[in-house]
Amino acid sequence: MSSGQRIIITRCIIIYILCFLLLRFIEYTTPSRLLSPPLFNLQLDITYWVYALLGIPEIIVHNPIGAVIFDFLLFLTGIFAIIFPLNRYFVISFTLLTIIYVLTFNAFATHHSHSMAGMMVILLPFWVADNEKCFLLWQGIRYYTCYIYSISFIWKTFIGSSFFNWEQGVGTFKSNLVDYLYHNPETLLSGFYRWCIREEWFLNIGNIFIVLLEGFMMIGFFTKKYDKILFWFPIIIHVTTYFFSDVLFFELLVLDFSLLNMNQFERMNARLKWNL
Amino acid sequence: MKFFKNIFKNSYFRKLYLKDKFLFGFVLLFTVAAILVNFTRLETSPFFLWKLYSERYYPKEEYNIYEIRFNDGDLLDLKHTWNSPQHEFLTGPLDYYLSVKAKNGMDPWQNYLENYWAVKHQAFKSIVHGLYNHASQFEAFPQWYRKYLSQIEKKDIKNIYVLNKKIRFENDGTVNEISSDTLLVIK
Repeated sequence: MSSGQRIIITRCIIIYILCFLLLRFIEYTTPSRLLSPPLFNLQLDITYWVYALLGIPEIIVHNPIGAVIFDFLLFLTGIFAIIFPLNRYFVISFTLLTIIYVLTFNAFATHHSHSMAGMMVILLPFWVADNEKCFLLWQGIRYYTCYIYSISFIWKTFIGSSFFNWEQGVGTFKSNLVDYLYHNPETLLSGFYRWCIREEWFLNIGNIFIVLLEGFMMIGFFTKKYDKILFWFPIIIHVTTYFFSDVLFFELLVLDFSLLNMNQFERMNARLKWNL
Repeated sequence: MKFFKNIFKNSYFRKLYLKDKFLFGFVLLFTVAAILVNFTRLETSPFFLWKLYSERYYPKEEYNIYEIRFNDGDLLDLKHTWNSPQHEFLTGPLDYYLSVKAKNGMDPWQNYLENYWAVKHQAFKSIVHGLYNHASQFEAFPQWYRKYLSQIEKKDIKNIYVLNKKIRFENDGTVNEISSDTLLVIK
């Protein structure tokens, strides 16, 4: 990996993450706009325990000035990391603040969502100064991307057994979209959803298709030959689950960058001239 | 044996080992931890259990949903759009609060941590106190919710009604309300 390639990859990732963080800021879900929520849920996750025992919530959630400073630093380090992508201190600071944000959001939303899991790990390779080592770790992120979809497939087939439940598609669809259908009966989308419920086979086959796409991600462990195809699988999975399970996991798609090869980044760079 | 040797020779881990032993150790540990949590089923971020929708879902006769109304009956319309994080923040803590209120008013983690976990792990007994919600936090929740919703709706909210609705799917895909109860009133 050359410095130019490293610059373009770092910028792509951080811009992607910052877009979603900005969306979260606009939606009143970053610390400065949470207004010190009283309830939290740490579950049995030791990382959350350490986060709470270190007193981080007192500093960045319950202290209004601390919350504003946290949001400011989160965006500032991100912007500086875009401007100076080879400066590891900005990248490391941004990664750490993003991790703290993820823990904060999940703890106080009282639900540990995995949608931001990719944001916690994807910048780790860029903590390393040497470009060759960075490239090797970047390859590790590619395997991690393949892993999360593969293990999700294994959970649905061998550990759990939802894959073998023919009614899984319509079951998840109804439980997740009943709210929307009740409150928005007049929309075009509701009309389509009602058709889906009448034609249950469509939802059930769709569910099988999505689980199989997750399983196909295992190919990535053995060859990079099909990465151009595998790149689209997570996109199809998350767009589909957004419409049919009301689960917005687009933030996780940041991991999809790891399935692009260096030539694709170079072409992107030639168009955008980002590493100048 | 030769087959496995060949696999290792060309493997990602070997390249990493030759390049930097520390990074090799880090990635190996990360990999082992990521796989291990699936056996222990004990999530430790960033080692996650990717088991969403691995349990079986069957279509049901009836579903329960919350309806949140405020001031003169204005509906909090949680649209199916990009505002998923806000949706999570408006429903997650509320759901947690209502589920605790419906039982004995005590955080379920308090019971588990104080009466089971801390008994097993005596050395950590003194720290569990800060790992669950206390009565004062549950008391503070309704007013925080009113303030947070006021911020989102950009207007002063004087009262909030949280309704629990029982909904049934008809064969044509339409949904009908069967019953409605008031779960919570915030003034």
